[in-house]
Amino acid sequence: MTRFRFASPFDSAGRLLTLQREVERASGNPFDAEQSPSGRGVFPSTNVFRDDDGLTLRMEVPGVSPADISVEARENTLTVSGERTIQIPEGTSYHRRERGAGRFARALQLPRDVDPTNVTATCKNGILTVRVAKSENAKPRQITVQAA
Amino acid sequence: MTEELNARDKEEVRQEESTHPGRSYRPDVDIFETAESLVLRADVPGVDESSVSVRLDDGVLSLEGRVSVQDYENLTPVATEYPIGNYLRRFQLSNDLDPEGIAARVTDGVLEVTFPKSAQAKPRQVQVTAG
Repeated sequence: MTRFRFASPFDSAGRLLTLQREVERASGNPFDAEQSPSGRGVFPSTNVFRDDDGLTLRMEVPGVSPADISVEARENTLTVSGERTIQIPEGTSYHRRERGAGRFARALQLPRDVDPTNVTATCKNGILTVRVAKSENAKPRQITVQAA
Repeated sequence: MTEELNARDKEEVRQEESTHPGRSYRPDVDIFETAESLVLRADVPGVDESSVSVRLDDGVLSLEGRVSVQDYENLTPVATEYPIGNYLRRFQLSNDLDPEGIAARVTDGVLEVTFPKSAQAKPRQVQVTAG
């Protein structure tokens, strides 16, 4: 039995806990363009992250086919919309039904330091990832000081 | 007429014991039955087929899904609405299911487990003969 390995499962578990704590600490409104009356419960649930290159949005869309998702950026508003359909065979009886089906649309106001013309979206394992690059203006520039 | 879809808050699993540190959440499930099988579908966003475990132990079905933290490297959360974590849920199954024929697959973050009904649980047409 291997007790210690270079990439031990305890490392990834430790990283998960760290990530969970960080995500909890950042709990808050991911800049919705329009506040829903409840504030919560708007589909899809969204987490917003930053790195040096810009903004990353992660949305939970389990059971939604990537082909049924539309991502649109207009001025500084990002809109994600689509539909989740649930298909079941004929002559089926439900024992338990917790998963909802229906249409969704969500508009998010992008901050000023990102470029709404530079957006990419990928969908994998029911997570939609939208990346908005930092605008050129927001990147630090080195200005050469010339001798006068 | 299509309904508007709402997001549900994730519910943390607290009473269960798990060998994996880190918080786990209870996936939403649908369970339905056809003439041939019982089908269970669970929302496990962020989990692929290689990090899911489906176990049947003494009539108890355990579903576990592990999220990858790799996709979050170098990212700093600034505003979050949902927790990230593993998934865990258990069900007591009825006896008329055939443990041999269980099939599972993951598509777009949904785990689907299909149990064929055992022969005696399937509806049978009994031939009535004139006597």
